Amino acid sequence: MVGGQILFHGRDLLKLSREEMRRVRGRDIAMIFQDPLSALNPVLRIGYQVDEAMHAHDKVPRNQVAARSVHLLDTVRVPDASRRVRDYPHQFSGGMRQRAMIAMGLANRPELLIADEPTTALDVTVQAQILELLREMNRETGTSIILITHNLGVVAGLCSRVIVMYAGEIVEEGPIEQIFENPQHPYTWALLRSIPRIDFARHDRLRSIEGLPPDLIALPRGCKFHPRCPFRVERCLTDEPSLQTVKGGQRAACWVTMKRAYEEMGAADIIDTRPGAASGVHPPGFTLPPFGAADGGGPTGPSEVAAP
Amino acid sequence: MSIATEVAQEFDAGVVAREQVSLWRDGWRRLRRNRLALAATIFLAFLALVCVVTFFWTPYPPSVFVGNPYAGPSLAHPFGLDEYGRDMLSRMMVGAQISMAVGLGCAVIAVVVGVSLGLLAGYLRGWVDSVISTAINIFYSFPTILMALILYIVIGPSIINIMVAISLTVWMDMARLVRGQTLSIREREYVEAARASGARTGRIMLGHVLPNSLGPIIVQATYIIPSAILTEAFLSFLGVGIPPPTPDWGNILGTDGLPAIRFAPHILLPTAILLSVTLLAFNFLGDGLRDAFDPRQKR
Repeated sequence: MVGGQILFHGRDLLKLSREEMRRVRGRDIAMIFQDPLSALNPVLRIGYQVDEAMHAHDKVPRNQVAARSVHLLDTVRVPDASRRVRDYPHQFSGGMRQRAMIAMGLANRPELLIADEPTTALDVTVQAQILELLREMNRETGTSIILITHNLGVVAGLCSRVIVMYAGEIVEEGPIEQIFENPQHPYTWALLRSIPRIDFARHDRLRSIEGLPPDLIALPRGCKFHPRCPFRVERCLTDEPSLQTVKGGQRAACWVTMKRAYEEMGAADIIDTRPGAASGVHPPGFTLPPFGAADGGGPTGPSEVAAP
Repeated sequence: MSIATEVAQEFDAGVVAREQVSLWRDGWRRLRRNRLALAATIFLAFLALVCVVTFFWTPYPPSVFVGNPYAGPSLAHPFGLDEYGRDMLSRMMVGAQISMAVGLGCAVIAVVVGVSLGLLAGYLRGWVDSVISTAINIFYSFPTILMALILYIVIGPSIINIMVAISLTVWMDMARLVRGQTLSIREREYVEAARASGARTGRIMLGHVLPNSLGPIIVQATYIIPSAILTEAFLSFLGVGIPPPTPDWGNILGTDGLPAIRFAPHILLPTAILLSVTLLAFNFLGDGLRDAFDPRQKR
């Protein structure tokens, strides 16, 4: 943490003592982990692990904990829950483990559930079931969910508000429809463009974002995305943009924004998405070889001109 | 036996769901396959049975004159008599009881002390770890026998005291082992998950870290027992252990057996062999357990 605050019901979580923080964890704010196999203790029964959050807080009366565990597993559709609470994690399938994790998270009816890539370890069918489950829990218990994911399809299906992050910083945020229909940050635009589409007539090469994610130890100057951005302008190389409201609830941290990219740089039918290709702006000493020249085919990566 | 017939037999026996087998059952199954460890287990079970029987019955009272001194083995006295005409079989039985009591007692004390300190050091780290690690190193720097001797002389002779004295020389290995285990387990995601659910530090240590290091702890405890038995026998051999006339493997060897080794070897040899076989059995069992709980060996 560099600075700032984390407000939860007006309380700054960073200022809480260890014990106060412990009382928030698992009670008001719960978390679902990415890989349920490593986040479940292999030598403890599932029931014990679901009970844990309830034993740690006094929200659920002691004598109801065991019954509630069974009920929770039942709610997240673990079959034969009353018998399955006595199973060990290795006796559960991947999907059931993730359901058990969700049951653990929901044990104290938290107000906020942080789901860190809850479906990455699962196949698409089970993924759909888990997402449906999360949606249902959100509707029925009113638990808010922060979903951390790389999967824009999951975002589209589940979320109402999106925050896009790049190199540890927020680059764009807004209501889901606006972000998906009218992304304003080139990174969001490029992300959406790189989703493989089943309804495309021609099967082109998969589109990717040129270049590599930045080295977080030596971050680029100016906008963190400029070394990979086709629409960069002079200012991007030196000044860091801050979040600016673009349109009703949507904010983007970009000097150009896609509005200008569409109007001035022909972003609508761009083929060459190499850095600076659409704007023609490059850092000193950098030249972009002619498009498609290097390997006689698809787009190529940027190249540095070596000093003589 | 080929693997195929073995699988077929297990299939017939209804042992099909291999995945359903718990860690402990799995370990026991692999231990049984190790013949040396199985033999050791059977021998130790027999010895344990003898110790229980000794509580209620010995062929003769162990510390009373019952026949000619130095008499060799006979039907009435299968292991002969010692220099005071006491029955050797009865004395060996009582000695076994004491050795086993000291071995197990030391293992229990070493496990309790070593595991608690190891958990605290590994989980809390910081100054707690520094203090405990320093204590471990200081205790390591003393020669075992010398320390047991000094402690024993300082706190006086009794079976409880000898256990405490020996325990103080063997708990460090356990503490180091558990500390290392804890340091690695505390970084696991399920510990983080338990913290995220608001579990208290004590509960994480006892409920999550400890159960995950039980395998190595049991193996280490199995190695502590023979070393404690040997140390106790050695102290008694030197005449500073269990005071005569209470029989004990060490003082049978040192006080009764050694002076008479030329003309009455039946006093020393059977006890010496019994002691060696017991130590060997515990070590084989320890090796067997180590292999059985080794996660890299999936047989």
